[in-house]
Amino acid sequence: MSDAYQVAYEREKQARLAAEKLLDEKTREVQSSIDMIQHQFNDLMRQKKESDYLLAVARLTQLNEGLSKSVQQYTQESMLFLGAKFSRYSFINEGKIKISSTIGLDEFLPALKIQAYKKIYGHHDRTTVCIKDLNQIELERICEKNDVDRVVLLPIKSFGKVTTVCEIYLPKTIDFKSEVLDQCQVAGYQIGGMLERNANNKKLEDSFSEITSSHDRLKQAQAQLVQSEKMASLGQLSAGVAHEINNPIGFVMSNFGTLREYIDVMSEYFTLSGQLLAVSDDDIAKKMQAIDDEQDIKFIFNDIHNIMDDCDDGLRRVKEIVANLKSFARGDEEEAEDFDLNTCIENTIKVVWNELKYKVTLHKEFDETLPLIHGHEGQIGQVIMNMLVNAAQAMEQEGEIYINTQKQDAIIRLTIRDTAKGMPESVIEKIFDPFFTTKGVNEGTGLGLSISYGIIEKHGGTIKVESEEGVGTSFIIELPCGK
Amino acid sequence: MQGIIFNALEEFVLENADMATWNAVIDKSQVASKGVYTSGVNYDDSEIVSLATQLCSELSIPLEDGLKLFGEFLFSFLMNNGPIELGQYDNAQTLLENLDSVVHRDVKRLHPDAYTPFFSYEPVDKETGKLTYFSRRKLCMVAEGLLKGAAKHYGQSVSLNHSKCMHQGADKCCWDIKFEQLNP
Ligand code: HEM
Ligand SMILES: Nc1ncnc2c1ncn2[C@@H]1O[C@H](COP(=O)(O)OP(=O)(O)OP(=O)(O)O)[C@@H](O)[C@H]1O
Ligand SMILES: [Mg+2]
Repeated sequence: MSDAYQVAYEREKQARLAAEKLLDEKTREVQSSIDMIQHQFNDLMRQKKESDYLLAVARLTQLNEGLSKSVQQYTQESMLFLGAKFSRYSFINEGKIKISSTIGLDEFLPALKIQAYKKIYGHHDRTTVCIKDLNQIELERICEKNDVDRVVLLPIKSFGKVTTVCEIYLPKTIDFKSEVLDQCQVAGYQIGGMLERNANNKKLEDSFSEITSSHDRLKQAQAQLVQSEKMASLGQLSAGVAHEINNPIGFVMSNFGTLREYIDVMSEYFTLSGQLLAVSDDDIAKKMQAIDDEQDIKFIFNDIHNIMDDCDDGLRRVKEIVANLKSFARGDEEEAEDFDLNTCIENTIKVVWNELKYKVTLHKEFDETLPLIHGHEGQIGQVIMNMLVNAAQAMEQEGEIYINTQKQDAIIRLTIRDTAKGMPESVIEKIFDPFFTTKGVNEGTGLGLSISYGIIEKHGGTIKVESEEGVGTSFIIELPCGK
Repeated sequence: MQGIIFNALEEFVLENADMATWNAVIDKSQVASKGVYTSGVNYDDSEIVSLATQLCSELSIPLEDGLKLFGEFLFSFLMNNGPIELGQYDNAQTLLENLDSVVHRDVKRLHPDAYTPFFSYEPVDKETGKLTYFSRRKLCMVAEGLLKGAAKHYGQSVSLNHSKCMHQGADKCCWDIKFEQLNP
């Protein structure tokens, strides 16, 4: 019996040894699994760091916060990613460092010699340089103090040129595979791509705004064309009318002279016959005396003189208006000539007076020493006319218009101020736009001010407007003096 | 075959006979391991066959009966000493349904060089079902014993109809099984 257990005991001992061996093997296996897991974990952490970094940079390119902010953040992220102490980024233009900024260092970091950068322009790729090889004593001192022994230079390129260099200063203790730097380089390309996209967008925007403005100019030119067409046909019409009126006025005026002479003769004749009647007993003489007593021949003759004077006045005014109509009718085809602004204003007022007289009190404050202006009197008149009409139309009841002319250096300033209802900001913004009007469909074309603007511009001048709702509006026109 | 199964066999012999019998069985079967079996180590399949055959002739019982008895013993042995904790099943059917996908898979995970059999259980209703078994070892008798052991463990009775058998030329073994809950 004990023999049997002796045998069993021996077996059991063997089995235990085998178990211990197995345990050893398993322990080793577990250990190597742990090693592997640790390794994989490290790998994963590194990958996570990498993807965090690339993600941060990708986010940067998405945020698109402008050149220097993006570059600064890229440098910062790369510095963190590589575990660096401090860094610097420099913008490069035509082989020169334009702006430099240091991150993570309190003291001044001397610039790298341009040769260090030259390397980068050469092959356009990241490089790592030992601080010792740079031969810059002050730089070396600062690096030594911070335990830094090398610097990674990362270029950012846009349109094939290096525009920015980031310097990442690495401590001696840091060590990594070169793939890590490849990541930084790839991220740098992304930033560069973003900068290129920005530049392209800018170009696109520029050409868009150019197209918009030339479109606006075209529209304005077209509007002006329409207006000048309008003025041309209006001109022809008024020229015709003026001609038609001119002839009858001519002979009415010459007949009028003769009439005045005849009346003088008759007046004398009647005075004498009056004296004769007073001393005559004749029946006819009595009847004539009765008419004189009733009608007062003397008064009639006085009144005839007054009426003749008034008619004379009227005729002269008709003549003047016709002359104005003719000058107004002459359009662009006229050669530019020197003219007096004050006179031009006077003439314009005469033309539009009928529109204004019931509503407007005009105040003229003319600088009598104004030099002449070189340009088209008719066109400037047109501008002034439109402003006067606009002002009158903007008056709800009666109001004032102040017309002021003034010379300042080589500039002649014309200010037309009214006390009409004024304009809100939203209207002021648009008044020079062709076809902008607040008036009814048949009342305003909305061309007046846009054409005025064009005319003043063509004369080398400017128009400005100041307006306050409920108070009034001033248009300030400045024109250069003629030579 | 895993060492634990040999340990179970030794236990089985000690319980039903004595140490001398076990020594004799080892001696006579001339197994390569000389009867030194460690749980967790894999031994040649032929050793268990030699040992079982020797044991049955020693005890003069038919091999099939011996394997069945061993299977029944093996279940409780594995439950008590086996490498896997299983507490979440409350009857043999659910254990069977999860045998391949959970129990033997865990065995395989702990001992990658273990060879575990193929089992699939399709329930017909709550109590009855069809079980299919395949293994290169063709140990359907041990399986039957294990099923009995499992039923006993969960307080169930089991009736087995071994409808197909690999030893009769079938490519798999099949049973129609009925488990019944015994009143406590
Ligand atoms: C009704 C329940 C079970 C049945 C029918 C069953 C069936 C079997 C069979 C027939 C074998 C022999 C190997 C083969 O045929 O190739 C086997 C092996 C084995 N079974 Fe199970 N088993 C059951 C439950 C369990 C449980 C609960 C455990 C563990 C706690 C377990 C662990 C093992 C182990 C370790 C082997 C040895 C594998 C090898 O040697 O490579 N079995 N099982
Ligand atoms: N003095 C002013 N006071 C208030 N509003 C004015 C004045 N001058 C111009 N505006 C505003 O500017 C708009 C544009 O004026 P603009 O002379 O270009 O066109 P219009 O007078 O409406 O039309 P048109 O000149 O063809 O009769 C006017 O409709 C009016 O609303
Ligand atoms: Mg107008």
